[in-house]
Amino acid sequence: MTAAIRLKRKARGERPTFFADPNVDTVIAMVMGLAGEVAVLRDRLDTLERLLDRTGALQRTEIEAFAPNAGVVAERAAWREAFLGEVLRIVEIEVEALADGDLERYDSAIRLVEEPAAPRKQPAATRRPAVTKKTAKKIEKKAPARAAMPAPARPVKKPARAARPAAARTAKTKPVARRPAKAAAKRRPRR
Amino acid sequence: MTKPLSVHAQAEHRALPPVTHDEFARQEFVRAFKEHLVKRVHGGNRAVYERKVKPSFERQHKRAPNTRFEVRDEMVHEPYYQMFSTLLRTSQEMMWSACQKPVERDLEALNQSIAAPARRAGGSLRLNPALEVPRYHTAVDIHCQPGGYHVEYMPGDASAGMVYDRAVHVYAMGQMGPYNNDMGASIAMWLQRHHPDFKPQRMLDLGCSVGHSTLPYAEAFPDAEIHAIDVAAPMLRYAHARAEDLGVAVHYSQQNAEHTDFADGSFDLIVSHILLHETAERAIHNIVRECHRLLRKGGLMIHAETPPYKGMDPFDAFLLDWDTRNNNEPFWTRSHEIDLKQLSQRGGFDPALEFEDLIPSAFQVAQASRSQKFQGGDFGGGGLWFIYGNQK
Repeated sequence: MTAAIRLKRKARGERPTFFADPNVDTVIAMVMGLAGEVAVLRDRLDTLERLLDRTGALQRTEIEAFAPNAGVVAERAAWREAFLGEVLRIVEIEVEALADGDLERYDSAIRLVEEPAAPRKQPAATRRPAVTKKTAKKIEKKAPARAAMPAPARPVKKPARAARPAAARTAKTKPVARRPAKAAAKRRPRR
Repeated sequence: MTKPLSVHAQAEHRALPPVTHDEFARQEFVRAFKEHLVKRVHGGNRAVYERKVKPSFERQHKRAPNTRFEVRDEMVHEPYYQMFSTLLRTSQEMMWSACQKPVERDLEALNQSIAAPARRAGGSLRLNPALEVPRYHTAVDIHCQPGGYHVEYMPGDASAGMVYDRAVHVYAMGQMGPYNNDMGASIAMWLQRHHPDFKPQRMLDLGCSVGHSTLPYAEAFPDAEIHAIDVAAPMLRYAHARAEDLGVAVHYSQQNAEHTDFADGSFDLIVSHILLHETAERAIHNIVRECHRLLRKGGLMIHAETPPYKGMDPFDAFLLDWDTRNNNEPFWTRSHEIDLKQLSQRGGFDPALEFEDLIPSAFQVAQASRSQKFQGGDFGGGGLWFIYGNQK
């Protein structure tokens, strides 16, 4: 057998999305991909049972009649718990972060590493010249990309996700825009 | 409701890549997924439209939507339609993936057996590496087949054909018969009924891909010399091996249907099957003109397609148009709006001899049709094919 070749999976052409948040389309594709693999596994198991049944190694009625003993029950329970732990791990990270006091916004790490090397004796507060409205406009004209970089004093819009208590988030659910008219029109131009 | 057709219902031949247990199960899942969408989900769009969207539109505009564009502008905001669409698109992507896996497992060996078919039927294969692939075949990968009809992973590659042959069966959920040949078989049956004395001596199939629609003509017209052309070499390599293994002599050549190298008046029957919507405005006129040049006096040109939108209910047209933007079929819309009489006339045919017909599916004549509807994502579900043609 020669080496397997991976055929390309992406068809040339922009992939359409249908929901206001395109990630919903992505998640549905994942769910269906998973459903497909479950169906494949189920077929395989079915084949196995039928073969065992045919060869007399097992009668399918035995499966229905199978009563797991306490040890088997415990083993299966442990496996299920580990499995759910893997699948739902993402849910736990918020609590872990709280426990570790890991509550800084990520931006603070960016600011920290981007802080320019200061001359030794200068106090930190005077390192960066204040950007007045006038100079800011000049900078924007010259190099808009650079000007878009946040000055250290830029206000923080939202509290850190991890720092907000879970109850606050569930209580105040952001309403989903039913008709994102502009975005939809942009994606699906009218002929 | 007819019994679901398993992927097993596809007839085996030596060109078709074998599948493992799990690969087969995966293809079966996609087929079931598509069938579920057709039978259980698709129809809900109509209910949402009739009970929700249309009344709301009528309240606002004091009239019902007139065009499929007005229907679309409302429907795209409906969560049900959004979910249906994303599922249908996903099913299409999963279909290709499920059909690719058996092909990539040992492509070199598969290509070797394609290059040297075990059986010979007397057909031929003529490739033209210098042929320019038309832009309408490279802008996007048509109907989302990754790499399109043309991709080659190694010299002499036929992988696109291997993937396509299985995918057609899954796509149509088996409704095109064990050999995927229903379009050709239906036209042949129509010819035998409506033109019983017509016995073509030399015929040509345009845009034949893997030749699944080409072969049934050999059965209907055993004396005919059959030619078939396509622009894609990987499809033709596969088509040749497939026909040889199935014992049908077909002369395949790599040519663009807009301009072929056959002499004037070479054929008395020229057919195509869902080719026109995969071309372009300029090409479609060239193709009809070329058909006129290639036909003998009295010869017939017949193209099978899905029906034109003219006179269709705006909601039905909206759903049938789904593929244009969502399944990489950019010419689908326009090709369904072309005035077919004018098309014939510009190609040199007598518009008085132009014909259009909804013809029964040969495969489904024996079966009850599945949904009796032309609808996006339900290929072959109508139990009928639309044909358009002319006589020289």
